[in-house]
Amino acid sequence: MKKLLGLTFVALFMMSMDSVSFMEESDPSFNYDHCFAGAEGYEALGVSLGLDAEAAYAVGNTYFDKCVAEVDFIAGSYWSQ
Amino acid sequence: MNRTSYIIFIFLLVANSYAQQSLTVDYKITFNSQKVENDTIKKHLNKIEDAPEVVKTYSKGIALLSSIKMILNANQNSAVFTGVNQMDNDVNPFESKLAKIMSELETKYYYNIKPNECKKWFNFLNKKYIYKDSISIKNWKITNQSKTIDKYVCYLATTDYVEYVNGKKQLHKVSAWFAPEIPFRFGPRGFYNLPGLILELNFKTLIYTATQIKFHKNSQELEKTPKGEFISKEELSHKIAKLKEERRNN
Repeated sequence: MKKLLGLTFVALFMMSMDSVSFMEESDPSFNYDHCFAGAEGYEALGVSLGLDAEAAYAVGNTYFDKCVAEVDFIAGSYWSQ
Repeated sequence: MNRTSYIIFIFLLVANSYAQQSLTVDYKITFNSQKVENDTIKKHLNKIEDAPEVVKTYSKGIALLSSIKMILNANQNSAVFTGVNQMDNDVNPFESKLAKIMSELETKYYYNIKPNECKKWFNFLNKKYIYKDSISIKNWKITNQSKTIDKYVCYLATTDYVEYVNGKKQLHKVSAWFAPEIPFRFGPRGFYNLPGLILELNFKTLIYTATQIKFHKNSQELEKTPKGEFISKEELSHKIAKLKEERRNN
């Protein structure tokens, strides 16, 4: 009986792990990485194109806000389903 | 008489006849792609996942610079330089914001000769700031080169522009073509105190060119500097570094 319970627990644990990793892969709200990278890209490129540092930061920040809003919108749609 | 003395002599000679007058100058902005270091751009683009999208957005922002007009209103001893938005309403908001930031459309420069100072009033993340600077004629190097812009003989002068990028001080060479025949000591983007109006300014990748000059018989009422928090370039650089760090850590 103990063995059966143990096996059931392990099976349930494995299933829950699978469902967590499934959620992480599918849930877009977990992923802002490209927003950070994109913002820094816009900033670095802006400086190279002649923008002052504060202007380049403002461009990067504008992109970052836009990107985060897009991710949140997609994530919102996902969770409302 | 050397070239600089000759230019100042011409400037002083005509200055008296313009004493009570004022002027309004329109400038257009063009992007000088020759100033862009392609290798640096490639290096940055290699790090960005959606590089083609970033390049496309910047290209559109740069194209929109032609829809922006900058205006200088000047009396003999004071002036204001700012921009006028002529972009269509249906332009993509991000691209239009990019063009506004690049051109400093919503930034205003308030110049004074006595006392000698230039206040840059600008919006940074929805807060208003004022940065104070001053350029004297000694900061300019007047060269022997000359060319005619419109009907005015202009002389080339250069100066250094200091900025802080990621906490590091950087110097940029700025060149200005000024006309001693128009004795107003102002120009675009915070550059002034040459013996004559700046008709063309080369600032990093941007070229400001005068497209129209209107002379007024009397001096004009210039707007006063609005309120804002005073900040130095170094302080602003530190603020940006802190904001970047916070963004990374959140």
